[in-house]
Amino acid sequence: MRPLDPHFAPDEELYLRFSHARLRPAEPQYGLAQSVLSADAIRIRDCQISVNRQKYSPSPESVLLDPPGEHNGIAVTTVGRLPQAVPGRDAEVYDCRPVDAPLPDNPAHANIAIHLAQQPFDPAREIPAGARKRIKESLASVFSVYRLPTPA
Amino acid sequence: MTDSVDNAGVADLAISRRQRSARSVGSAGRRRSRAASDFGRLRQALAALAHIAPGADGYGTLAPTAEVRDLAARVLDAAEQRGDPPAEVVATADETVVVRWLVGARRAEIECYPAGEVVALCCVHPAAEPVIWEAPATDAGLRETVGMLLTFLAPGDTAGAAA
Repeated sequence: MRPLDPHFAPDEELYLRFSHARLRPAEPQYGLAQSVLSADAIRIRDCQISVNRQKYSPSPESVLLDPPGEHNGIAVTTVGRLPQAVPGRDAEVYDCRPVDAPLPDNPAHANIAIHLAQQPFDPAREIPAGARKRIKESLASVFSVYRLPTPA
Repeated sequence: MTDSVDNAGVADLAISRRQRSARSVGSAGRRRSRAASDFGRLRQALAALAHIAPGADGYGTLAPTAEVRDLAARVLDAAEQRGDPPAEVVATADETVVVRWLVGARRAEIECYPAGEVVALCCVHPAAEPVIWEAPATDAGLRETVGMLLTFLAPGDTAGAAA
């Protein structure tokens, strides 16, 4: 397995795979010109979201499973677009930061870690549901659809 | 696993935005009948979420638990008391269930979490920042939250209930 590489450039891309069920289709009549990622696609486990990083990805498609199955859509964001200062309960705010996390079968793997601002990352921290929902909505809004998933 | 489905597999059980919009057309009797039918399909869609294949997305996502589905069923009960069916009931990658209304550009939803928490959202426009709050999970609290969301979605409410 490759050594850890904690350096992320602000313009490094991060990739997430998703299915058609988690796509918000374009609705030009309501001002949504292009299809976007639904917040339903964001999975937070241990205060982290699994993604693949561009630096170790031969192509964005390497985030897909083999075979891809129905989770064959790809959403992309950049490190510099990750949400900051998302409001939590009371005066708490949350930041999202990339963390390198290569896996034996996926050297491009990284996590988006959710921190309480100004505090070290604590994967055991319980994120209140309201804050969790805000984080998921904020994260979905910074992803663009790179490859449309096919309907199941 | 032959009985496994993803959200897409139950998409035909959900009610499209167009059908949802059409709900307001017709006599009161026909509207009541259509709403009852809509709720029946939504409950079928909710039950089908139990059969999502675990880990099919490669991120380890599981089907929403029975507790989450029961909470979502109570949201549907509260909505049915108002006679206003949501557009869809979907499982998320976060193992929650979202009950969602879509009317025109507006989106309102209630997300049910595994620890029994309920979060409401309303958004006036796809590009607008949503208003999000934690709501009480009691039956009375769910009825009140559904009522707030339906007021927000009501035609003619240009300001939005939570704006």
